[in-house]
Amino acid sequence: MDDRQLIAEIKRRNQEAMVQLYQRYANLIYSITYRVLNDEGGAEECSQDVFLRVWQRIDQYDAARGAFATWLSGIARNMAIDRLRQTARQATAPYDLLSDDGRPAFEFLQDWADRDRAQSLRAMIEKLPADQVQVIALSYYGGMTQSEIAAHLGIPLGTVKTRMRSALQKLRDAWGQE
Amino acid sequence: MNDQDISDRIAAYALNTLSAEERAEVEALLARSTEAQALLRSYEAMFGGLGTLTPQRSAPQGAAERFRARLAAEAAPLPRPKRAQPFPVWIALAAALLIIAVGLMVLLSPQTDDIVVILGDPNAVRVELMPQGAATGTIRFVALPNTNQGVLLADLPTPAADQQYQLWFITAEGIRSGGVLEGDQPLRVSVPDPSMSYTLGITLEPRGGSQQPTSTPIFIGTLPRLQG
Repeated sequence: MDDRQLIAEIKRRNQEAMVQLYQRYANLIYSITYRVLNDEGGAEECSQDVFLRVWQRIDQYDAARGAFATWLSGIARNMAIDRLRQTARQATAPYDLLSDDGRPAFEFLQDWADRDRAQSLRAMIEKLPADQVQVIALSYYGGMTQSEIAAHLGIPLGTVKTRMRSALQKLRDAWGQE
Repeated sequence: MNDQDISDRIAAYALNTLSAEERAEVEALLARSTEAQALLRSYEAMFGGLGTLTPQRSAPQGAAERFRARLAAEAAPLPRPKRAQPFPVWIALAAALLIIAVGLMVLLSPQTDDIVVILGDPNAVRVELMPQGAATGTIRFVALPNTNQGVLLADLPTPAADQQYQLWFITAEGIRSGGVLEGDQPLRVSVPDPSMSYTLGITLEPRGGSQQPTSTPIFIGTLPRLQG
C-alpha cells in the first residue's frame, strides 16, 4: 500500500495500517528525534509519541499541502524540541544540517517532485556558508531562539538575524512552491 | 513591523522558537492575513523537507513491537461505565454467602502448589518481558500449554507506597488486567483466552490497580497462543 492508501485505512482506525506506516517511517522519525535529543531512549519514546499523535490526528493531514513525509518530519521535529525543553537539558545540537555519518532520508518521499525539492534543498545547504548553516542547525535541531543562538555563539543578535534571513531565503527558494 | 520582520517572525513561529506573547502576535496576524498564512505554509513545508535530509539512524531493535503494544493500549475501547441498579436484599445476602464460600475455598486451596506445578512443568511456555526506557528489574511469565494457567514472577524495584505493578493482556481488540503484584510474591494468573496471542505489559498503577492502564508499559513481552 502507498501512503495514500495507508492513510485512508488509518482513518478507518485500522491498527495494522498504522503499524505499517510506523515501520515505513520509523527510521526517519527516529533519526530526527535522536538528532534533537541525542538520547536513544528519549528518541524512541518521542518517536512513538509522534506516531500516536498521527494516529489521533490523521484527519489534520492535508495531501494538497505536501508530502506525508514532510508533514510527519515537521511534527517529529517540533515534538522533539518540546521534549528537549521539558527535560531542561542543554541542547547538544550539531552545528551542521548534513553530515557524512548517515544517508539522507529523502528516499521516503514517494513523489519524484518532492524528491527533486529535497535534492535541491540539499544542494543549497551544501552551498551555504558554514556560519549560516550553523544558525539554522542550532535553531532547527536545538530549538534555540535567535537571542539564545547569539549568546551561545558569542556574536551580536543582529549578526544572527542577518545570517538567518539570508539562509532561510535561499532555502525557501530552493524548496520552491508546493 | 516591516515585511522582513514579519517573515522573520513567521519563520520563528514555524520553528517553534517564539515566546507565548510573540506566538499570540503571530497568530493574530495569521488570522487576518492570507499572505501570512501562505508564508507560514511555505516555511512549514521547507522545514519538513529539511527533516527528510536528516542523516539516517536505524530505530532500535524491537521498536515496532513496542509501538504496536502502545498503539493497542491507545486504541483499546474504554470500559463503559455501568449504570447503578437497585440492589435487592436477597441478592446482597446471596453475594455475602458466596464471598464466604469462595473465601473458604481459597483458604483451603493449595495455590502455592499450583504455582510450583506450573513453574516445574518442563513444557511450560516461558516469556521474558523486556524493560522499556529506563526500567530496571526482571519479569518472567510462565504458562502451561493447553490451559489458561500462568504465573508472573517479578524482581522489580519497590514501588512507591501508593503504587503497584499491574499486568495487562493486550490485543487489538482491547486490554484486560491480569492482576496486580503484591511485593515480590508470584502472581497466579488466568490467561483470558488461551487460543489467542497477547502482548503482555506491566505498568505502575495506583494501589489496588486500574481498570485500564494509566501509564506507558515499562515491561513488554509477547505471549504466544497456549492452545489451538
